[in-house]
Amino acid sequence: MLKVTDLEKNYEGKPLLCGVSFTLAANETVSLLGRSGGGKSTILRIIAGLEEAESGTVIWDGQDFTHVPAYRRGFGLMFQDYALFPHLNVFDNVAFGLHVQKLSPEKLQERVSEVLAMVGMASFSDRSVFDLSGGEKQRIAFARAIAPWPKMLMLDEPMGALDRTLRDQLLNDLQQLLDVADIPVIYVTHDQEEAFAVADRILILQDGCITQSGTPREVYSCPKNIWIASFLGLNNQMDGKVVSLNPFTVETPIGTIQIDSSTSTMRIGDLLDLLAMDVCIDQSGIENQNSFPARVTAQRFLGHDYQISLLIAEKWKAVITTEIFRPVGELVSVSIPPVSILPYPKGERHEDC
Amino acid sequence: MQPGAWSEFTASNLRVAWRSIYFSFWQAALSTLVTACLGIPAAYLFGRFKFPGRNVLRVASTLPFILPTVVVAAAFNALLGNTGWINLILMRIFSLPQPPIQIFGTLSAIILAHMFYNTSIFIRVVGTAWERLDPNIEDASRMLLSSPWQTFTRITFPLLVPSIISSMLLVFLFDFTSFGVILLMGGVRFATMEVEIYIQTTQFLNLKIAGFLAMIQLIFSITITYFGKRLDGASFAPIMPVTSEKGLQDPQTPLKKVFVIIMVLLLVVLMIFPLAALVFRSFMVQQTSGSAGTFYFSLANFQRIFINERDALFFVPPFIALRNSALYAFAAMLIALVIGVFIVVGSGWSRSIRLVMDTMVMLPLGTSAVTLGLGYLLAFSASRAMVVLYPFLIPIAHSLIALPFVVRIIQPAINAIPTNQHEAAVMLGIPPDKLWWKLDLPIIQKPLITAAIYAFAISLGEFGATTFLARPEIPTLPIAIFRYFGLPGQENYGKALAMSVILMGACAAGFIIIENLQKKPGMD
Repeated sequence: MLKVTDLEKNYEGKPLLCGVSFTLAANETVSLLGRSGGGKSTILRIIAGLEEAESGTVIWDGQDFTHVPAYRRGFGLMFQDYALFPHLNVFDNVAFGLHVQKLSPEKLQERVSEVLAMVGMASFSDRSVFDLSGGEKQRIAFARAIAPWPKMLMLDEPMGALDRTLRDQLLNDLQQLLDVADIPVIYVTHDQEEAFAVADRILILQDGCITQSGTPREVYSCPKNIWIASFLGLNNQMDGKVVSLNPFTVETPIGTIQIDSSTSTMRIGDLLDLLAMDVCIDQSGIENQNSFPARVTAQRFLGHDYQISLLIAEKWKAVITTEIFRPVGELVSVSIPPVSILPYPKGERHEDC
Repeated sequence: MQPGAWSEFTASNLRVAWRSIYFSFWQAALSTLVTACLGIPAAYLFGRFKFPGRNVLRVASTLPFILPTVVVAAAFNALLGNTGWINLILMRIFSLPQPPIQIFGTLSAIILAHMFYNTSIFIRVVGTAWERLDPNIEDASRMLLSSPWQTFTRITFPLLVPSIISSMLLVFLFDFTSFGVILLMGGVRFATMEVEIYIQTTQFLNLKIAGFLAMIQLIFSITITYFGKRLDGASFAPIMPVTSEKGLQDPQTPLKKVFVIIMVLLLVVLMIFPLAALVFRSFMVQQTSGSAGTFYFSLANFQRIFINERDALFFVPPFIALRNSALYAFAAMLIALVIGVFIVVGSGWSRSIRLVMDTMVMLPLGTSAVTLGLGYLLAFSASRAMVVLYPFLIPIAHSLIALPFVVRIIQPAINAIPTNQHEAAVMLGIPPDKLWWKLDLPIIQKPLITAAIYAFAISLGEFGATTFLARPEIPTLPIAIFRYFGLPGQENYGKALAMSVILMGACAAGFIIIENLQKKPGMD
């Protein structure tokens, strides 16, 4: 439905977007995930028509929308701080976009009631927007955005202003609402949990480009580069140097380790960033491949399990979660399964997994 | 330059001019100091304490700000004048043949009226600053083992200094350009520059001396305004203060209790007594002509407003003045609103427009109404035919006087509309060229009403500029009140009081509407 091609935009003389391209299918929910200030909102605003890109096109359903003014695009946008109109009550806020469509009073009433019921705020229609809590404001902002039957809905950090408990609760509701709305959705966030919760597909925005696109599972289990891995909170990383290709062996600060991965583009002597997706504590003295001695340096109780910091071979720090309590100072043996190690050639970003 | 252009600048004229400049400064400085002595404690009262009747007293204390000078003069007259309450009571109790208190025509009367007027500025500006001052800051200081006095001198006071200075500058400016109060409370004997301009113009027709004084007055006023503006955000009184009530406490120590009681009493006596006296006195009529003859309750003063008596001013019944004032005020309000909105919207277009507009609009605030009136008089005195136009100039002059207030009320409201409100409206299908009508105008509805009421009230009570422009047969309400006070006899006095009450009622009604508008949540 939506096709965005080669968007470029400078901000204060520096390139912010350098050729952003992606597509959005009918009824697909895509989450645009990236660092704060990385240009995610700018992409939304360009698609919305609130800002113009220096180059690039926005095509909707085969039509070139690049120069169509925002008010004629028929897209819905939910703002980060909701931007509810202060002089209007809940009903009139939601009805605002419907007035423009010159609906009959009965139809307008019907649609507002329908949308308010959808967000569970039917009894709030006479309230002033000043009397709403953060979560209630968010629902009304959502209702206002979808009331005029937009072709597509865009949400700009919709959970940004909410505290964590409320956020978790509203995330489930929002997921359902997006299903019910049955239109394509672009959800902008810097929070991976939110993105994973709502999106069919994740787009990672890195340095002004979309560097990875895939389902949440694909992106998380196989980050396309070490930056994305770090951004997703996968921090068990170390440096390595290829010493043998068959078997694929790499020299690391903690010793040589075996990796079960394609070596088609590797050469002996290549420098690598290694990401360990799995580091496990060996149970009952069974030694596995890539086993190393380790010492527990810190532990944190998370509720259902423990987060444990390990110093492996007195050289490399890794953080894992376990169900079993381990006191600080305990000596253990850990192993890193060869299949769980992802190698990234140093200095390259767009290498396939 | 024509020969004889300097002929008016004789030594005696210059001496008169110099005396008026000197007196303007001296009375303004004295008035400002005296007002600060009441205003700062009053600011503390409203900024820090909860007490019964707080809101009523706050509204009553800030009401004078919007009251016309003639009403204030009438109120003090009803309380302290020769046939005012206090003199009547004293004369009855002690069987005195003459009123014992003769405050009118003294410097004390002028200072008292200035204090009545401008205490509200301290309450609004300093009081609001005090109220917004996070009490945690003071608590933190106290936790660091400083005494309450040290906390005040080292924390609270320094934080309040900007608001105190800007209040004092504003009060000084108002006192400096004061005209009605001086003329009505002091009389021509106490000639400030304003009064001197008036006298030179209307009595001696020395337009050049008047113009010379007006120019000096303008330079001083603009200088003061400039310094006021340099104090940045705090420089001018927020007309729509935001109250938080977070820092308010019940007076707990005996000292604080005494302070609250004394301050409340003082404010009641100073702020409420004169207005109450005016209302009650306007319903009193003297039965027989005698020294302290019996007074009784009557509506006669109000009824006489509608009667065209033989001694009526140019045979115009007073209610005609009321009608004139209402019409002028309505016209002035419309003009001020339209120009004000254009200025505010235009300021949004470019920085240079904004700068020019800002300066132009704020100029009349620094200029006194008298200077403005004289300016019109001089500008349109070229031909005799123009004299006919003077009454039409009144609403224009009034709208100019109201304009700074209108702009200062509307501008922050417009500026407070976040850009994303506009974007949200555009996303919902509003074309950018309709944003003003569909979004901005409805959002600023309340400030717009407030501005309209201000403009209306300012015009209704305007005295200074009008004295130059009003034609005798087309008087405004304040002009009529002024003239009736000047006429002998209890009936004329009564009519002046009754008209003052009507004027006060109209202003107070507007003020109450504004206060209520502000209670509801606005842009925050």
